[in-house]
Amino acid sequence: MSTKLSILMSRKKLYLLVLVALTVIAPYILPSYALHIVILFYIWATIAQAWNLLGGYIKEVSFGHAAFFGIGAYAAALLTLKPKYWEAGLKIMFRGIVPPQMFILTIIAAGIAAAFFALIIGYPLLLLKGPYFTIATLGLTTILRVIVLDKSEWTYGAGGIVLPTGAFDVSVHYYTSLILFAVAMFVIYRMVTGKFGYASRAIGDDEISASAFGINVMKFKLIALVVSAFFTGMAGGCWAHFIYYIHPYNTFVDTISLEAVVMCVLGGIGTLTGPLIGTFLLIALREALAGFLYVHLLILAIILIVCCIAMPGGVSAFIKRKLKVSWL
Amino acid sequence: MELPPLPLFFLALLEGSLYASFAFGLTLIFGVLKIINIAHGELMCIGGYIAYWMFVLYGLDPLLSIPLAFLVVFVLGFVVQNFLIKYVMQEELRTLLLTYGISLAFMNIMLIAWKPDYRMITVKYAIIPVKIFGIEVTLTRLLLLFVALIQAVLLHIILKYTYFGKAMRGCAQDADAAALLGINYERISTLTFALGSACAAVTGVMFALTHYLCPTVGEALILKGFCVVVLGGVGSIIGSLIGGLAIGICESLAVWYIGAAYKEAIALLILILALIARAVAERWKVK
Amino acid sequence: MWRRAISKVMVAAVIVVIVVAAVAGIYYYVMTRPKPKKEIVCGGTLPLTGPMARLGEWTKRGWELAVEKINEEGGILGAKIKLIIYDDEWDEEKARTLYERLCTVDKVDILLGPVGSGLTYAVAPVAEKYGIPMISFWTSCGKIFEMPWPHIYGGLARPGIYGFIWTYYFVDMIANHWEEVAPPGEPKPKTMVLLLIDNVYGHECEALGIPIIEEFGFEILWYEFYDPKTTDFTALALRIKESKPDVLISIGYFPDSLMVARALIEQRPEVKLIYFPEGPNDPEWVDPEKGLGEYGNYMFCYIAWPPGWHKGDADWLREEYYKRYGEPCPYQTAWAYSYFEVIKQAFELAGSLDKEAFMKALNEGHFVTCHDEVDFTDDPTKAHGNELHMVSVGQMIDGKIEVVWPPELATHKPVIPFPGWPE
Repeated sequence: MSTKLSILMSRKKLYLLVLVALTVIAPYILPSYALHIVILFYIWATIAQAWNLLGGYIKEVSFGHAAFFGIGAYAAALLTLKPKYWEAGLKIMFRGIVPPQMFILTIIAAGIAAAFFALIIGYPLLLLKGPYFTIATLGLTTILRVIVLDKSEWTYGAGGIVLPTGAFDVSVHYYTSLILFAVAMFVIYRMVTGKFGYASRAIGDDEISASAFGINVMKFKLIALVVSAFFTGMAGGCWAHFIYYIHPYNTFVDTISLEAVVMCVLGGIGTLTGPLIGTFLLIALREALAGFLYVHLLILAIILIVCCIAMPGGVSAFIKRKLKVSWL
Repeated sequence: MELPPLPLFFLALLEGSLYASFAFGLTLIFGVLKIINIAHGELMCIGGYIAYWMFVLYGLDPLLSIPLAFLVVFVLGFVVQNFLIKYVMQEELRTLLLTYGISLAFMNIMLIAWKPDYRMITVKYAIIPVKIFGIEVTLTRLLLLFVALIQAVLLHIILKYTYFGKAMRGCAQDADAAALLGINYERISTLTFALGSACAAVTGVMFALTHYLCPTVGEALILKGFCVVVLGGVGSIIGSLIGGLAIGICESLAVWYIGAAYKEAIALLILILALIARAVAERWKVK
Repeated sequence: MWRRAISKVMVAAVIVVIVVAAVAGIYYYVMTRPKPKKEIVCGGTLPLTGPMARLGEWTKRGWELAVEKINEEGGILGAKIKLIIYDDEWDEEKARTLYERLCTVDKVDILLGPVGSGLTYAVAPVAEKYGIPMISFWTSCGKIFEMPWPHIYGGLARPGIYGFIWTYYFVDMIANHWEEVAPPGEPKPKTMVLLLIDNVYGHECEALGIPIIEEFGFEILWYEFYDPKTTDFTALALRIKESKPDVLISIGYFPDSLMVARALIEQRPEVKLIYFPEGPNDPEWVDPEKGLGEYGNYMFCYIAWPPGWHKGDADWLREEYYKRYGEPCPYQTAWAYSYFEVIKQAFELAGSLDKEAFMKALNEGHFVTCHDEVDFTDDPTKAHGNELHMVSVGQMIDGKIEVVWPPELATHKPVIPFPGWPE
């Protein structure tokens, strides 16, 4: 019995190794178009996983993750263009101008900016119950967009920002987004399988009982929100560098929030693999349907409706049940 | 800072009556079914298109189309609730996703069928200006206000005096207790959803008379609709009426004082601040 | 019971979906078989859904009409054109992915530009990366023509004025040619109010246009940006009414111009001249159902495709479009059609289907199309712009769009000042 198990374990490890090797050498074997899609997959999967922390485990449904995404995108863009904003603080390390090659630092800064924003508004926002929290987050994106549009002296307003990092070879963007994705997955995995996981599941099931058991509900909610915002912001920064032309209407729009929610819920909330499956499905469907000119969105909507009704727990739960795969 | 002219207030009121009318159905659905119906905007559009095509093809006056739109979308809402939403109502997230999918589906069906052209019902009496307290308003805008008020009154009567209305209120307060009293929660929720959708259709008819109709207008309105629902109090018709009018006025004031760019954000800002203020106040009371 | 039945069906449906996705993916990769020599693949994305869907649709019709006609007449130098169009939903992310697809999977020879300066900006580097010439008439933003993108050909612009060109001619007309267009004794307009759409186009007009307007001697009372999603302009209309400017200019696209005009009709401000760059030049402006009916009269606009222009396939296009779609041909379709006139003439000038020769011909040639005479700048290090010639000022007079300026193209004398709001 134990020998069977150990063989199984090593086979799994072999598969894993092959997978990791493939991801590492992907830029050299995949055509550019496919690479492009994989990069988008990494970025969106990070956002979906980040959303999952808040919406899947703690069950605080946020429809405003585009706000964090946009903050991250704009923070990364502005820092790339106007390094003097942080020159003062980092002069010691970099002795002056931060070269564009250091753009990875802007992505980290993007995450920090988004997390900081979440920290400030988090406490009052998390006081709101269930659907009220959802509606409040829905408004965040629009408010931020209007501000960004208006304060164009600082944000370049409607004209948008063009980032020089777009000129980099696509493999640079690939590895950046891969690292982001890997880090996010690792951190979230550790969180979910640790104390946070237990606490958040308890909170998600029944908040009042959880607090009766001595769990500091507000603390965990805040942690979830801030970590979620952090990774969403980083993904936004990564995206900004990849798409290299951002403006208020492709960053602070509700469609981004909605896509993140759909990817996560479709795949299966409250699981680690759910958001990944959801993201993969949505991106694959989009590309597959691109040839159906007028009806592609309609077909997507119908698939969404069907999956919603027929698959409680999302696609990952469905696959788990039907194919008896337990490791999902 | 000069005060804005009186016409601004009155016209803001008229715009606000659109939000109020839109919110009536939304607040009923939210109250009884406890779900956020993202497809509400598209249901409104369907009502608007029904009136539009009745007018263009058969010359039917849009005011007469109101009962027709009401009936058609009532049935549509019934079908949607009974065959789709019913199964997922328990879980908030799944319902949200489902209503989002339905909204996307309806919007794209309308886009494919009727193209993204802007349409408006232009009846002969549309441009006649009417003078009220010395302010000139187009007749159709006034009609919008009247219809909203009539909707409010009718809904209020239904809620207060009919069995169905009392059942709705009971379900909104406590679904289990209502079931104990013999109220069939499933049936009431289906009828409520149908009624709410039908109310949206009525709003849609009036919308087509006063604004440009396009399959994508639902998206922008749904956000404001939620603002009104939450500000006015879930399940309260009077609250939605006052809330809608108030938001209309606030928006116009914001445009006057701050600038047109902030128009879309102002309602949301008020909403978030109000929600947080209420939550903080509750916390204070508990302490 | 119903749910279990639906589950079985849904298993099948989901499996079908996944299989379809995989098959579609494989199918597109398999499409990379060696192309028959006698085919020119042209591809692009358009906003077929979303806020700009009307423009996308008209552009698509223009391309399709052109490709059909050319293929019927034997193609270009014997090679047929294959047209591939995707829907980018007016979104940069989707447009980028689709252009990557066009370049690598569909292996296009020529890229057709997306709609809007913003999207062109986002996808131009893709064209540059693969070295595929891209033709896009839908960009007037100045920044593009300073970028090191020699594969990009496009623009409807005039250096230094760029996006403001759509309004420039009108301002020029009332500033410098007042005596020629106004009735004798009519005082020259002095004060102005502007409404601008809050996006790249609007902001470029602010940056470039406001100084020009002030240079021409006008006094700008105030100007405001409005959110592109605004549907109600009552408050702004009231402000305009209070300010009583001589001239009102509202810079945006057709849908919002329509709604601004609607608010104006309700509030009836006293204004002498009203200008929408895009609005009255659309036949739907005076459509009794979809537009303003008779209340849309006497507002000015730009005319990008004057009815008096008969060169290229202009007349054929007008006739054919009306035959197929039952409505007058919009200028956007003419612009789109002209892409292929340029492509055809450039290949014929080059004498071969070779890409380098094609691009050389584009640089050097002078092309006569159904909407304008096209001449690209030939700086080999930058994107190539085409200085637009065909812009004139129009006015909606008695339900018909008339060209009122310049005099060589005019079909009617302008009605100045605005005769007032109908009762």
